[in-house]
Amino acid sequence: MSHRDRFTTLTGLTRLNRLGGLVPARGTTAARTPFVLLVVVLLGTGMVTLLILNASLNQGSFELSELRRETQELTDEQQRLQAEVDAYSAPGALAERAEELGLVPAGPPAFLGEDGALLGDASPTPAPEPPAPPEPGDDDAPGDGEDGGSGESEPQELPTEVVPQGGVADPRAEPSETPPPDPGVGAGTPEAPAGTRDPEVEPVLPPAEGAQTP
Amino acid sequence: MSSPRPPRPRGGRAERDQAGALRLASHRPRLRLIGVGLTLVMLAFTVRLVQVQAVGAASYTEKAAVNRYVTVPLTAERGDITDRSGTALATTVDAYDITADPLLFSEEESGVPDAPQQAAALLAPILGREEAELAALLDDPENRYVVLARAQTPQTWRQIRDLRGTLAEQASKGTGDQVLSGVFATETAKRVYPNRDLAAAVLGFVNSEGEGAGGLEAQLDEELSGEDGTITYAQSGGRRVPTAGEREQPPVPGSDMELTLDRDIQWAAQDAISEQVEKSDADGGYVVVQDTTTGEILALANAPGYDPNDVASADPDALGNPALQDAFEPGSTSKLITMAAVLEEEAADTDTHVTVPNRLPRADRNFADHEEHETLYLTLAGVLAHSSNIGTILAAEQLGESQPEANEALHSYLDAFGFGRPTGLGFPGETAGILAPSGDWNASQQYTIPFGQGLSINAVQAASVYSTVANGGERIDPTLVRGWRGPDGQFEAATEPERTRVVSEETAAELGEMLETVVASEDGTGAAARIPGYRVAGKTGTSNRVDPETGAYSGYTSSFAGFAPADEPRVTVYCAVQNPTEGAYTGSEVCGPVFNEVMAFALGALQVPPTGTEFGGLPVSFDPDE
Repeated sequence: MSHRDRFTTLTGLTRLNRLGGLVPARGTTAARTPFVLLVVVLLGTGMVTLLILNASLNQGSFELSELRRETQELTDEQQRLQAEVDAYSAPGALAERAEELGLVPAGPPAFLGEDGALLGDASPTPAPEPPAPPEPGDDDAPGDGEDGGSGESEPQELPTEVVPQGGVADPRAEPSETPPPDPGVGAGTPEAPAGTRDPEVEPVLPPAEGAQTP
Repeated sequence: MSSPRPPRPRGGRAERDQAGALRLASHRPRLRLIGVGLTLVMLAFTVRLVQVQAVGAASYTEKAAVNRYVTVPLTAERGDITDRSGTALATTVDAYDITADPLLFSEEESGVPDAPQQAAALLAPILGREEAELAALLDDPENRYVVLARAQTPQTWRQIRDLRGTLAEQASKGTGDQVLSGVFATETAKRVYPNRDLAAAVLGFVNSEGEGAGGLEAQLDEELSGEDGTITYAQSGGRRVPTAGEREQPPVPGSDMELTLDRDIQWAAQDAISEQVEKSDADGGYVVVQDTTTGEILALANAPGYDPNDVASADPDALGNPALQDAFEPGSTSKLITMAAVLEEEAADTDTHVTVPNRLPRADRNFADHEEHETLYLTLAGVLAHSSNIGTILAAEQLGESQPEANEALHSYLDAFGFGRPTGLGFPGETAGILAPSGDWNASQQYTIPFGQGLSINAVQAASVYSTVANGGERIDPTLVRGWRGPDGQFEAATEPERTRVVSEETAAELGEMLETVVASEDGTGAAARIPGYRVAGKTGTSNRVDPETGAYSGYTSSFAGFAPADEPRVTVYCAVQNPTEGAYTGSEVCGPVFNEVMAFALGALQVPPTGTEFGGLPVSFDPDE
């Protein structure tokens, strides 16, 4: 109760004086402008930042949907092209195309043995009786004019070249870079010409190269 | 309101004091009333506030979210099925179902009297459908949804969209009418089989829901289909709100299954059997190609086949996999099992002399061979080479002291070679064949079963017998799936197939020589299977065929089974043609060439060189006077 007693004893004048002490002595107008400016600037930058943020967000959203659309289109395109490739590489389509070019099924394969001996029967598959007389450029696609021309002019020749090719590779062959396992007598002739290579090396040739050998 | 209640008498006194003046009702009761009313209202608000904000908050949030948040399922991509080298045999691509709202084609909505007809004329060439059909679909304003075409390529949908855009432009300029505003598209996935009918019977197909409905697509559906996911995002006016939080449960794509099939060998097998079935005007045919050293099935071809890209127009009867689902009597190709039993039980040797009369009276009938002959003097190898039924019956009788014992011994070998049980592939609809227990064999069955009649098997079981002999007498369960590649890209190999020894290696080698004699000998029935440069072992089969409709014997099943190279086997090929009606019907004439073609191709594709050895065949006959 002592506080209350003290306040109640204050006279009106002393109370005014005390209140007057709380009021700043000097005028406040000088300090107000920078403060207002500061607030305005703060508010302004905040709003502008927000605006920019929103704008960039929207921009990003547009870009995103654009890129999504592009991805979708490219996926569609990729799938279309893949389907096209698949259609061309399907074995049935390949066989048909090969037949158009005058090729025949290779028949039983033949291989070159480790000692260079021929394994299997390498006699060429007989050419099938020629189909309807081939008219150059008859119903061939425009793109295969050159191929079709040579293929059709001598359809019987192609198979004889093709058959041995397919059959030279040895399944157990290792890549040709691999040095041959100790070949005994053949080891001393590293300079052996391509035509008469070390018998051990022969079967390791990849099919394409092997086709050059007799 | 919190002021202490004034004593009642005061009020009374006041009224009395002002009697005569304007008498106003006391304000206190009214204030009190208003106070109470306000309190009640405040109470109601508070209660409601608590109810909304605390008690029912979750349910209200949920109700609000229903419209704000949408959950969209994310379909898991179905795994591919590839052959052993990774070439896709079945894959999935994006597609669109083209739909329409016919109401939007009515005259009131479109402003054009013949909008359905105009739209149909525009869409028909793009969708490849009849114009009249489309017009009929669109000219039905009662209906709000029609499907114009299913599973169209994204390019087709783009074409329609572009066309719609052009029309809209023209409509705004007043030079044309917008008649396509009611066309929509729904994104779906489409299962594609790039090689068309290649291995269709094995792969099967998917239904319109995208679930496997046949073949491996059905068997491996769980692995292939993966797990669907969902995405939940905030939306406003149909647009996604980019800043609002979204939850995504990504879908787990299905695994890619790698089969044991070799695409090229499969094609060669399918090509050869289709051609032969057509040539023989047969009901059907199958070719099984199996790797003898691993049990892997390299090709499983059926004829006639179908294109799984267009199941709707395929013959429903041809949608199965007859090579596993048809049970048929194998005929002479199963004489090999009788020979295996006889050799393994040491009841006879390859050069044991067998005197084969023209007729053999057993049970209630006289058994004959496929052709009339004088009494033949054959070795056991000769019996197989000539494919003599009588000789086989005589050999089988040596398996036991009594007929029931012999039956039981033979049954145990038939069982060990895999007859009468599922192949282990687990293929949907696969038949186990029919092999009665030896005690149930009737009088004639005990003499027909040794030469392959009176029991039924499927084509893979038949091929497996020859692979077992080729693999030195050890049977390997056939397999179709090599493994799978999960979403993490790791390849996981399938479990190793079971291996069981059926006959000893010596017996297997002898059987191999006997089979080689069938092909190599001048007297053998298998000359058609000879492949220049290779040693081929094989056996023909021409069996009476049970007509599935009547249940009686009618027509033939022609077959050929064998492996090569005979002294170092790598590949087994089994061919069977059901009911050849045109031209020859014997196994060697119908299936011999197919075997030959497929075997030559498979040896080339697998790069199996000839072994370079020669074998003239075992002696097939003996001189009775010696």
